Amino acid sequence: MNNKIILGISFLIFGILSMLSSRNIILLTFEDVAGIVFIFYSVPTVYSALNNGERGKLIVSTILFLVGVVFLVKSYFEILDTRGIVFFSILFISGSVLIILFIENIKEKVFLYAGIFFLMLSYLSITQFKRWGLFISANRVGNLLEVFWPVILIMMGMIIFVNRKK
Amino acid sequence: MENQNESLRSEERLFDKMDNSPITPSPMKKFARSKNNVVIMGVCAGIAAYMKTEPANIRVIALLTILFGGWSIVAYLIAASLIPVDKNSLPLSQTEIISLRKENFKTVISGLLIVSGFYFAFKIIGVAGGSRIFILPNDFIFPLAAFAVGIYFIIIKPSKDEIILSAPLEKLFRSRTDRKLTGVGGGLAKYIEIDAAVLRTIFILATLLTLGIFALLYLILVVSVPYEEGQKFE
Repeated sequence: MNNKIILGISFLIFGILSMLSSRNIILLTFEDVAGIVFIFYSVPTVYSALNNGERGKLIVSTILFLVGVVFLVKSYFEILDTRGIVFFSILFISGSVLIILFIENIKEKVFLYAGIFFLMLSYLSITQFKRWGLFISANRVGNLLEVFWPVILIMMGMIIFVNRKK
Repeated sequence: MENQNESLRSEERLFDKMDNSPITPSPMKKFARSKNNVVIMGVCAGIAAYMKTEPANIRVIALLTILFGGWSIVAYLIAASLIPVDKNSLPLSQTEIISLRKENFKTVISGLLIVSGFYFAFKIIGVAGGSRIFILPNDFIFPLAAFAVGIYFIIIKPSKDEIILSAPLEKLFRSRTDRKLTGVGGGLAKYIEIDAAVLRTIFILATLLTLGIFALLYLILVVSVPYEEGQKFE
């Protein structure tokens, strides 16, 4: 199936689910809807991107899939340390992206080693890092970014706008 | 000799004719929708051509106007239905079309990021513009917008140039030309075919959020990835 059709259907699903949830016909939070749409879009896109060697799309869809899973897990299970999950997710998602880059081109062994290293770090982040007090400092940075994240969005937009002709 | 005289006389007549002809003013530029530079219906590119400015600037400004009530969308649709398409523009070559599409895609993405940034900033500050777009509430407008975008993606036909995909790079190198520190960002961006500036920004954010642990990836890549061959440092 054409990737644009998948994207189109994903937007339609988002529209239908968010419309139904806003009218209280179905009980879904924004995170549920986003999680479902991300997973729906990313599974076929990973497949087609792997076949066509489109690495940018492959990375974006892998990240979206894992973010979708995190959204659904956060929504259906009670997680005490929601900030800690961000720390873990960044490391786990990076590791997974590196592994999938290795699967796409098995000649690049560096992705495999770096991927395994990051997956191990993500495991350590939930077992050891809390004991070492790293989460407290990470939470401070997280609090700061939570306030200024619109500025980050604007900055990223400006960067892309300035470099649009490259 | 006679031929030369004849040609000289005809040239003189031509110059006389030019001198006596009344000075005609240059025709006023017609306001029309662009035929080649189109994202939705070519209105912004038409305005840009009329105002002699970059279409990207007009597009970002048009996106920003959504924050001030969203009525610009209605104005856009009315303008698209009233303004004719510019039929005199010359057709572009395939490479020009591809580069124009890439530029337009980046413009739209950057515009959406800027608009979202301002929207959420308004929401955090508590400015009224952030709570409601259009006369209808946001929880009604956003699903409608998603419907419209979804239908748009489903009905547009894939163009020929989208089917032709360039072969991806076989090996990861550090870039010698696009580098800030060691060329890892530039090389990786080229390998995964995304913008190097965006990749660097994401890298910095992830490093901040993980208290520098993410920077280990950079170190691993610096140590294990060689520099690009056959290129000089810039």
